[in-house]
Amino acid sequence: MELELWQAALLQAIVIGSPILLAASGELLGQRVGVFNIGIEGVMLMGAVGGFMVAAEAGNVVVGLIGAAAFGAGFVFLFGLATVVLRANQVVAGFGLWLLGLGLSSQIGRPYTGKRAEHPIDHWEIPGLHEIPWVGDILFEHLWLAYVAFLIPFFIALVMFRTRHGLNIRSVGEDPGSADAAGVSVIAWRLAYVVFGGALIGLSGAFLSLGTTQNWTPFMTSGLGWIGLAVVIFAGWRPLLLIVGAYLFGGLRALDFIAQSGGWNVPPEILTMLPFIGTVAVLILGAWRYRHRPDAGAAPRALGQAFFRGS
Amino acid sequence: MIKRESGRLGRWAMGCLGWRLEQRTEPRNQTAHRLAAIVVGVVIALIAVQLAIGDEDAFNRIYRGTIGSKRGWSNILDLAAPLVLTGLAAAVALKLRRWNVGVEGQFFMGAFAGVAIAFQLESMSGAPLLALMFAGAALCGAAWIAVPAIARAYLNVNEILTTLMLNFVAILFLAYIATGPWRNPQSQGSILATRDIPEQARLPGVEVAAVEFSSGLLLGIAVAMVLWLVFRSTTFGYMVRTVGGSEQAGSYAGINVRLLSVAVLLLSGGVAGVAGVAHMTGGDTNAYATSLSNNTGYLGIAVAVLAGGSFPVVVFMAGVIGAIISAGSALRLLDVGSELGSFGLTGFILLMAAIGEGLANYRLRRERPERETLPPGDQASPAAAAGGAGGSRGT
Repeated sequence: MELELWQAALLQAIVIGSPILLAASGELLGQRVGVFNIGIEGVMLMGAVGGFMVAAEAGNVVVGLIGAAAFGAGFVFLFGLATVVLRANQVVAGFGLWLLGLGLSSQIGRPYTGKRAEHPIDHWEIPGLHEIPWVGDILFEHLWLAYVAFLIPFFIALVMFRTRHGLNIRSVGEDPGSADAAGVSVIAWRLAYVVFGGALIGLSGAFLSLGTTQNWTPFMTSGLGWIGLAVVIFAGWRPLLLIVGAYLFGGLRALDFIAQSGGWNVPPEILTMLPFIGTVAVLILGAWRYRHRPDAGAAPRALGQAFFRGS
Repeated sequence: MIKRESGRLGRWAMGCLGWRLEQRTEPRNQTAHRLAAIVVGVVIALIAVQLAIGDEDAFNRIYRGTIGSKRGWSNILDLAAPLVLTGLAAAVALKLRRWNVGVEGQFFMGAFAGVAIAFQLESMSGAPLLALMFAGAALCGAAWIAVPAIARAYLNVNEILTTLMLNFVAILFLAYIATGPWRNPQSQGSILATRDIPEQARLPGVEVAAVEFSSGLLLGIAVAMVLWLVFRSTTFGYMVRTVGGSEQAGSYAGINVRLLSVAVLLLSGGVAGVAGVAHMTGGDTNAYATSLSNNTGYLGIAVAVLAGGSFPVVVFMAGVIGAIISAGSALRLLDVGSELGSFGLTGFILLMAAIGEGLANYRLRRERPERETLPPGDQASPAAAAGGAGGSRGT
C-alpha cells in the first residue's frame, strides 16, 4: 500500500498520539484533583516494562495490559503516599519518582531486553468504515487500544462535568477546604485519582512495548511522557482538548520523519520543538488573559499544594 | 492547635497499638527529618543490593569503586564536578522558593555559547578565549530562563512548567546544531556531537595527593563560596532572605519583589550556563554533544533539594550523589545496570527525602485506649476542627 505524504503524516499522528493521549488522560486526572505528577515519564517506563513482562509470562496480552496498569498504579501509589498522605513536596517526590522509574525499569527489564513481544496488541479494522477511500485505512485500522485511548477523554469529560462525582473531583482540586467542609475526604479522593491516573499512564507505556515497537528497550518512551505532561497544560486542563493536543503533538513529532523522507527544507528539529514552545506560549497567553483576575485561571487552583485542614 | 488526619485504616492500625499520627500546625525539624530519611533510604538501598545480588563481593566492589581507591576517588570527584554547579544553580532559585527545573536546558545553552565563541575565535589564545566563553555561557544560560522568569514575576506563570518545557527545546536545538555545519563527521549512532573545541580552550585536570579530577570542581567550590558570601553579607542577599521568608513582608519593606525574583532566576540560569561550559572545557567531552549531560541538570536539582538549598552543603551533596553513581557503575559486572545506580538510587533517595520532609508535619502520640471508642463523626465537622478537636486530647 503506497501512502501519500499527508496520509503517512495522519497515520503517524495517530500512532504516536494515542499513547500520548493515554498518558495525558492519566496526568489530567491527577492534576484535576490537585496533584502534579512530574514523574510521568518514569511511570510510563514502569508500565512499559511491567506490561511486557506480564504479557510474556502469562502469554496473554490482556493480562499484560492489566499488569501494566497495576505497575503504573502501584508505582504512583508510592508517590501518592508521599505527597498526598504525608504532604511531601510534589516536585521533589515527582523527580524522585521519575529517576527511580528510569533506573528500576531498566533493571527489572534486563532479562527481557531485545526480545520480541509474542502476544502483541491486535489491530482492529472497524467493519465498513475502513473501506472508505482515502481515509479508511488511515483512521480505522489501528491497535484496539488506540480506539480506547480516543474514547477515554470523552468518558472523563462526561463524568467530570455531568455528575456529582465529577463535581467532587473538581472541587478537591479547586478548593479542597470547601470540599473538606462539605464532607469530601480530600486525602482519599486525591489518592484514588492520582493512582487511577497512574494506571492509565502505565497503560500508555504498554501501548509502546506491546503495540508500537513490540519489544522492550530501556528508556524506550524517549520523552513521550513529558509530551503528555505538555499536552495537559496545552489543553488547559480540559479533557476533550487533550484529544486535539495529543494528535497535534504526535503529528508534529511524526513530521520529523516525514520531513526527511519528503525532502523538505525545514529542519525536523524545529518542528519537534513546536509543541514545547507552543505550551509555553499557551501558558503565558492564558495568564495574560486572566491578568486582572488573580483568582481565575485555567489550572486547578490547588494544583501542587498539599492540603492541611484549616489552612 | 494540632489536628489529626490520616487514613481510617492507618488510624485503626496505629490505634490498636495505642499510637496515632497527629498533624502539626508548623513543620518541625525538617532538616533532621530529611537527613534521617536519606540515611534510611541508603540503608534500604544497601539491603536491597545485598538481597538482589546476594554476592559477598558486592560491597567489596562498591568500596573499591568509590572511596576505597585513588581511581574511585577521582571517579567520584569527576562526577561531582558538574553537579556542584548545577546544584548551585537550582539552590539559588530555591532561596526565593522558586523551582528552576530548567537547569538541564540552561546547561546545554551555556555549552552552546561556549562552543560558538570557541569556533568563531579559534585563533585566540587560551585565557582571554576562556574568559569570553564563560561570560557568553553565563549570559546565554540567563537568557534561556529570561522568559520564564519575567512571566513568573509579572504574570504569575508557574515557572516549573515553563522552565521544564524549555529543556526539551534546548536539547532539540542541540540536535539541530550538532547535525549542522559544526557536525563531528566521526560521531555516530544516537550520540550527537559537534567537533571538538580547540586545544587552548580546554581546562587542564587537577591532581591532589595522586587523585586526578576535573578543574571544574575547583570552579564549582569557588562559585559556592562567592554565592555564600553574596547571599550572606550583601544587601541583595538580605533582600532575598526577606522575600524568601515572606513575599508580603518583602514588599511592605519596600523591596521590588518582581524585579528581585527576575534577578534571582537570571542568576540561577547564569550559574547553570557556566556549569555547561565548565563541564565542556574541563570534562571528558570536549564538544557540544548530547553526551555532555547524563541528566546532570536534573540531578543538580536533586543535589540542591537534598542539601536543603544551602550552598556549602550543595558541594558536599554533589560528592554524595557522585559516590552513589560510581557505586552503581562499580556493580555493572554483577548484572546490575548502571542506570539503577545513577538514576534509580538517586530517585529513591530523593523520594525518601521528600517523605522525610513530609513527616516533619506530624508527630507520633500515645493515645489513651478509651479515646478509641469516640465516634469518627468529628471528621466532617469544620466547627469541631476549628475548635481544636484532638489538640489536647493526647496524654
